[in-house]
Amino acid sequence: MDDHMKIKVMIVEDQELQRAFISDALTDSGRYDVAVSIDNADLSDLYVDGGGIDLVLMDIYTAFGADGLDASERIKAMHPEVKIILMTSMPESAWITRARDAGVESFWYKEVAPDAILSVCDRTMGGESVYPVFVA
Amino acid sequence: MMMRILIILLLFSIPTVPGVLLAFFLIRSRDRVGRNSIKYAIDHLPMGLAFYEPDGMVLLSNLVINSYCERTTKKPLMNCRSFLNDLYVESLTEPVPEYEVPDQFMMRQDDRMYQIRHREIPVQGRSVFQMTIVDLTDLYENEARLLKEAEQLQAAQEKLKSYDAEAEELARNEAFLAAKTRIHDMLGQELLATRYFLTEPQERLTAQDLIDRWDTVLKELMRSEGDGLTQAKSTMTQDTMQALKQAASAIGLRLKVEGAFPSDSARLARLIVSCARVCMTNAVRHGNANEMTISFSDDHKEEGGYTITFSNNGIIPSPRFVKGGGLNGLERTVEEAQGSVSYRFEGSFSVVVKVGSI
Repeated sequence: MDDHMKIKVMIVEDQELQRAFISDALTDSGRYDVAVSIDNADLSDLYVDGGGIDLVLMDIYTAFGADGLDASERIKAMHPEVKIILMTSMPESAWITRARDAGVESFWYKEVAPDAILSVCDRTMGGESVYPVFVA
Repeated sequence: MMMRILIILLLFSIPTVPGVLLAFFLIRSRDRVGRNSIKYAIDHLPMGLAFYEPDGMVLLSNLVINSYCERTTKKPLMNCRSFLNDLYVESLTEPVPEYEVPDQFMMRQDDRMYQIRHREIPVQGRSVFQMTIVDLTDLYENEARLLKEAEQLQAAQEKLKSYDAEAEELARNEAFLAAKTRIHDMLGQELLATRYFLTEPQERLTAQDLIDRWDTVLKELMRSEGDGLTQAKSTMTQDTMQALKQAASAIGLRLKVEGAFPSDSARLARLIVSCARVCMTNAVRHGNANEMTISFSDDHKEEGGYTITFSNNGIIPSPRFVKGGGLNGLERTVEEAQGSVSYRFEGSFSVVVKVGSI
């Protein structure tokens, strides 16, 4: 696929290893181009303002405690067309509610299997909203 | 001739004599204070006044105290001791015990507050008593209102103190939670990776990869100290400035830095990054700027403070500009960190943030 047809992604994740893992998984698929990879959610909206970002993979807890949920709300307010997938390894239901209210498209509990994140990205870009389902 | 002059003088003097005589007597009478004048004077006092014998018999009373007695006891004032007894002992009116002092007490009646005083005054070796009734309603209400306001202020002050303590506790808990979250996150990832490695056929992940990942994680855990947010100072400074410059570049802004980035704490670094984000966004969006300078000054470091100035080469707004959500949020964030925000409009638009060590 030509580069200009690939989906431009920004990864916001404070752990370098995790950023690298996700970046590799997306790049290897051939469908995504990781345009930006940063560790601080407080700077994420600047990159979206600069244009050229179609999808944001946003960790909730990032460098210096910068809040990915806050950043997602700001991005959605200014750029509703940009899709966001929030990521976390901590199951906190209040975050899910807040994410939905902000208009965040999908919410993903981090897993190592690469096809898991790829699947969430594909489904989100396809117009689906992917949220965890809790079974009692 | 002389006779004519005498007659003329006599004719002129006759009308003036009564006048002179009248004037003489009037002048003399001003030096004398009579009963009527005393009664007149005390009747016009804005308070009740009575003088009485030791057994209570009234010697002199004014209209105000008579009126009060009639209103309260339904009878004229004949004996001041009886009247006092009716007022106080018989609780004819509603007493206000908290104001009681010897020879003085307060009474409440018909939503008015009265101060009643009685004391002995020696007059030429003779024992005479004086009773006064003063309407202190306005004074009492003002005092009550002031007391209430003082209590409210005291309560507000206690709340502020409590809020301060809570805010401090919250900040501590926030830092502790951040540390726990970070450690949990890292360990969680590696445990998932390990589980995946053990349960699924691997092409991308080898045993050595896994060991290397655990090695990195453990080193990272050991590097995290205290609240878990502390990073190697030089790395934090370098990485943060680099991140800011790259982010600025993403929106077409060239970022210059003057002075040393404070590396005291991650919280301070976060505050600076947060402020920089707002200033950079506004510089491009509203000021049409292409260059921003962040100046760091520890001019009041001895008090534990820094001054960070964000200036840009864009349009300078009017000093009466209306702040948007970004700057309002910035001010709130800085104030929560016990700092202050001001603006400069000469030469270029600058946002000046003063904050202590946090």
